Amino acid sequence: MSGRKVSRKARAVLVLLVLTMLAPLLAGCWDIRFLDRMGIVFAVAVDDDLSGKHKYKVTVQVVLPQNVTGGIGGGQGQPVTTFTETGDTLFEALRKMTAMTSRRLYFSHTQLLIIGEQAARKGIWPLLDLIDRNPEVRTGILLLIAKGGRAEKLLETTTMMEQIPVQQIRYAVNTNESAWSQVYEVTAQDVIRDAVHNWKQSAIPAITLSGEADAGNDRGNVDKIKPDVVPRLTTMGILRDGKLIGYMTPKESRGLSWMYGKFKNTIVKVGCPAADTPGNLIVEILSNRVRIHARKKAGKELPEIVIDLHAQGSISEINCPDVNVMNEQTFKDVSRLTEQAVRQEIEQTINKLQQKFKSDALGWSTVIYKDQAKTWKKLQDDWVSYFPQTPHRMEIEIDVTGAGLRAKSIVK
Amino acid sequence: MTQNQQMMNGSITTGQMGKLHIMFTLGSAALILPTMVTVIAKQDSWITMIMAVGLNFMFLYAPLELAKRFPGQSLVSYTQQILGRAAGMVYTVLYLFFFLVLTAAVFRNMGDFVGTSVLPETPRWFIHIAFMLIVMYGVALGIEVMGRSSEILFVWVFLVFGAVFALLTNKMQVSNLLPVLADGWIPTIKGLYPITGFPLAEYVYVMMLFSCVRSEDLGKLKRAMWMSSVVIGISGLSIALLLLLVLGADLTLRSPFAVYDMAKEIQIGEVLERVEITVAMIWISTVFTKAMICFYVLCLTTAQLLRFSTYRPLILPLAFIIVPLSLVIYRNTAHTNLFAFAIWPVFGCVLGLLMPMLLLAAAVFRKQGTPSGKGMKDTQQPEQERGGTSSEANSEQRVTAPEQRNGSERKESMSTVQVEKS
Amino acid sequence: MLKAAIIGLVALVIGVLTWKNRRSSGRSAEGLWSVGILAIGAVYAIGYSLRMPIPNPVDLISFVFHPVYKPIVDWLGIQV
Repeated sequence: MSGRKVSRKARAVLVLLVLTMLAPLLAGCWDIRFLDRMGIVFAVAVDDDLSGKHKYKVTVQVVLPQNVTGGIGGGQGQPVTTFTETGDTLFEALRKMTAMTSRRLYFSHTQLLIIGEQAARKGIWPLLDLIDRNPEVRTGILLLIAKGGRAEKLLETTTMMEQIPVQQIRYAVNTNESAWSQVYEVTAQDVIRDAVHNWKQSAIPAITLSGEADAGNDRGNVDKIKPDVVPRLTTMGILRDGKLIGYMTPKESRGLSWMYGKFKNTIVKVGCPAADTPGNLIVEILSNRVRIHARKKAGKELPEIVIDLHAQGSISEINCPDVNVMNEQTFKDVSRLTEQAVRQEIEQTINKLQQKFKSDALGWSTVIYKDQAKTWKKLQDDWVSYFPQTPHRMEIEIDVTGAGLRAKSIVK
Repeated sequence: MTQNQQMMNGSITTGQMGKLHIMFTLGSAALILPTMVTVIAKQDSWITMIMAVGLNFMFLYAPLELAKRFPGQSLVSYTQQILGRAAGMVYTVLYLFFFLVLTAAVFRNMGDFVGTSVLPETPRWFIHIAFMLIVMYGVALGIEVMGRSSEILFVWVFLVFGAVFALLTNKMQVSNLLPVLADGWIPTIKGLYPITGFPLAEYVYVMMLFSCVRSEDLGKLKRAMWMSSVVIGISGLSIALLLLLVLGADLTLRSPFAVYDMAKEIQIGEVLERVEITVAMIWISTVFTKAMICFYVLCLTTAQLLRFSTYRPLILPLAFIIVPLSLVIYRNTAHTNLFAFAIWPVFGCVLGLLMPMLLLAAAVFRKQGTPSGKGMKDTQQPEQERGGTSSEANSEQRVTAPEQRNGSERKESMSTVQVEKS
Repeated sequence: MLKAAIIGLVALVIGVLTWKNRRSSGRSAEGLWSVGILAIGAVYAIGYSLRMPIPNPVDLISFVFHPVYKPIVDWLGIQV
């Protein structure tokens, strides 16, 4: 029976061995990371390298946890700092930064990638490969284009409402999308999804600095009641084949949001229902539902895109004399006017994308593929030339149902 | 208990067998397979998954019939009975090779996932050895412990899976499924090809494990396996659907570990996010069960072939082969794809479908075993031994080859079974 | 080299223990087989740790099924 004893001993040794091997596993083996040895990167900005030696100039915004405090004022010094490095690829520049950073940069919490306008015009797909491939970076990070300027400047600007500048920008996109919707959130994953087939083209929101661009670097900017410079969202930038080709106007940009049904609510400005009366009336859209379909047209090669839009709203501001909200006809009139205004916005958007940009940022290719797969096979190879000719029809129905708390306006 | 069961240190219920089977199938396949199928069938991969349910039954048919004919016997003993000793041994050696490659491949899948997604800087050999230590421990504890642990893990797997499903409802887009059957039925049928190898052909492991199922439960075995096939079918379908609804075909086919990427999408406000590691944990637990079963089957086959009294002395030596083998088995990810995608199904179908069918045909033709389940009580007796009465004999009992049995044992064990039954 | 030495040492210890265990329970044949398999495994592991080209069963399978899987892959029309 000595054999059994040995095997029991062997078993004990085995158990001990397993347990000792498990202990380091808890710490993450070679991937062990100490929280105080990580530099958590909140945002990355990419510009083209002006010196011409390398392709990109990359700036990261790193949080300094010791300076981030609750309450007003904060701790000593700025809550974030930036590092800038050049490189021919994104990853090269990021790794070269270790020459300056005392901590290993950590990208799991990166929320924002801002691309300088010049870099965006040269193409953004090369920048997204790392985000797509690397397990540490999340594909849900937001993309922005620094319109008419350098992306690095945006990361070097102190902000008032949020202690960490990146948060200010990120929440601004979010707030704008849900309440006004001139821009909407676009993540790296969205663009990657578009890039797979390159049928649908991407649109990315743009941001700029309003004020004196160089004044934002220190606390002086936010110590004033009116800061010298604030980041300000503009409109959607349109891409073709992963390269920035231009921007929408504010109205067209919102038309794009309409088409994708992005916003929670927004407002529409319409003229007064009575003809020849100056003034405006604001309708707040409270809910909306958009369905886009491709319908085969008899005898035509191209299918027709049917945009079916239903929305509900209420009158929130009346700057017209003699608008009687006690009269049902008023609601009908205002509804028609709103429909016209929305139709006009969307029409402008489609027109611009079809005629000027020739870029299918509307995603009609996907719509045709999903609804008319057979037709799409014929169009697929030459979609670039088919897209501008694709006909569309809009069926817009907007119900204006409320008028706020008061009936008659005091505006005379 | 049958002879085999003494050697394997215990027996399992059909319910445990079914759960082990579900864990075996979902382990590794759930994470890797959807990508393979989606590459071929695109947004129709869910239709392929429905078709695959039928194949489940096809691959389980021969092993189940053989288990009915030779209750309590394993692949090693009944092949020798059907084909004769020498041919039977050659046949078994082929399966030994199959299980060796399979175990190594499962280890490699696990290592690839952990190594690329969770612990990229940790050397692979360390991940493989750490995993091997736990697997060895599980195998050393025997089939009963594996059966029971699978019951515990099973609950967790489905709880987490259900939670993931519920948390992703806000990210689902039904339009991702369109267009349906844009290229006709052919791509969906082509999509079945990788499934036949992985996991279907691997089902052949049951030819070893069915002998561990409690003899009084054997009658319910078929039903339990059918039930687990249905559960597997539903899980496979819902995973495929979920992936398409959340990620869409384009992103699914670009992601080697699609389910993990999908779990990254979970985001409820800013409160509940970054929970994908729970999915990783659940997946590792299923792949752990699978690795355990594969390694156990490998040890058992070797032990029975070499007529060991117990499989335990083989655990460490075989681990020494498996770990380096799993590290060299694939040269790189392209090689992984080529093998798992293109070669494994062919190899798997020969060993997992064709050969068991031929074996069954031979058994029917040569009238070996009991053709109907009714005679089960009589036929499992040859495997019974007097050792069954001695508790000490558990791990020291010698395996008897079919021809070594004699009549006296047969009678004695017959009475034992009747006592057990009453 | 160090790695190989450690593997060799561990294998040696396991081999001796297994052999003693098996022999003391009167099953030398089992001991022999176990130690034999262990020796193969140890050689394999040492070969791997020294970065020597060690045989891969996958290559054998690929070679044997070469004529079968190639046309199937072509028919599937996938890039592997």
